[in-house]
Amino acid sequence: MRLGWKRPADADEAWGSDSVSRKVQLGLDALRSESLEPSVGIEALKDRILQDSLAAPRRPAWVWAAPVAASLALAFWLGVAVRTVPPAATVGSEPAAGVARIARADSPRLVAKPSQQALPQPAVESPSAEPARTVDAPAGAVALRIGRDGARPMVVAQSSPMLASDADPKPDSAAFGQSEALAAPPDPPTTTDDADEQIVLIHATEDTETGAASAVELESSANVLVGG
Amino acid sequence: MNAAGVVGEALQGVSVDSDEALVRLARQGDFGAFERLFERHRVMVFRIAYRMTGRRDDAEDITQDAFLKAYQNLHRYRDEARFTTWLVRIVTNLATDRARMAHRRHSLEQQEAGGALDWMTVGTTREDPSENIEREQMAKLVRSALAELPAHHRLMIVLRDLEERDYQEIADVLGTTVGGAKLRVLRARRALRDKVNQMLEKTP
Repeated sequence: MRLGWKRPADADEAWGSDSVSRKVQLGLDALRSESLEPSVGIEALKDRILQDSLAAPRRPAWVWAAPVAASLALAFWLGVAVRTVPPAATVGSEPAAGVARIARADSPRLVAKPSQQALPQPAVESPSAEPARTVDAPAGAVALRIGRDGARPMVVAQSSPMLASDADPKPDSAAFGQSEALAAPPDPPTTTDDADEQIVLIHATEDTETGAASAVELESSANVLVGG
Repeated sequence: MNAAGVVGEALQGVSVDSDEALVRLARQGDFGAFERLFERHRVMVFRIAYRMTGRRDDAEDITQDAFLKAYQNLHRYRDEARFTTWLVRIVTNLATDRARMAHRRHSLEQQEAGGALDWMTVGTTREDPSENIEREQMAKLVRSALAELPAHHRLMIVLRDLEERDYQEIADVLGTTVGGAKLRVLRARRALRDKVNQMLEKTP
């Protein structure tokens, strides 16, 4: 047994021969023979087309293309500008906005150039890629790298012609007040494990009368960058 | 001039005068070509609109809207379809939308008038032996019945029984198959017949 609606072979058979169907067909014949003439003419249509074009003028492509192109150009330029910013400031450069000069009361001759702590350090791909940083320090000052757990302080730079070693630095007998540039080697690649690492600039002095030695911390920073 | 030249000119004349050729010219900015298309098809467009809406002012608005839309979208017309099919599709869409709005409005008016329908004034054929009068009365009755039908049924009656479009063209207009078009026409005719029958039964 077949269920469902059976589709007629010819839909024209829908008009039957019964009286209602005949009347419907009679009415349709009458409607078909009606004379229908629209009063709308081409002039009205022209006016309508003109009105429509004035009301909503088609904008040329550059109206929307220009802002898009400008945005793309700006985005491209910003991308290039960010890439070309040097990872570290050069000696003698003007201080960046928001970075204050540091001056220690106990070391009046040591005036630190603006550090670049505020600038994010890009991930260093190779240590040699980072330029050396210069620090003005009095003679006898030593830069130590400290902070790693279980690691001894390491001399990374010194202002006098003494040998850098893993041992504690010997105080220089040069008079306090002389200063010379310390060329600090670039930091090793920064990792999260080295986050506590600091560079400390120490000036060791010896009292000529008592013979007592003392060390003064001149500068300390996680990302030391001081210049004279 | 030889026979080949005459035939060639004749063929060229037919080609230039065809709807598709006029559309190509209109696309190139020749508004005169579009004027010819308008003059050629405006009555057909108006007829469909009028039979769908039942109101002359609405039909004239739709006629203007349809040609405006056709002019603005000439670049979208593809030559594989007949221009009249494309135009009929535009006008049927506009007219169907307008007819649906009018149907809602008409229903509200009927409710407010307490169901006093104008078709109830139509007399039966049994009372008038004159065939012409019967014809006019049936025309009025069918028109009223058409106005009561849903827009999609009315469109089928208009296209098939009043405009006498073939099933292939109806299928193209509706975007369906010939079988689908036949089925829709069948349902619309049944609906119209039932509606007319109801009206006749209610008529005193």
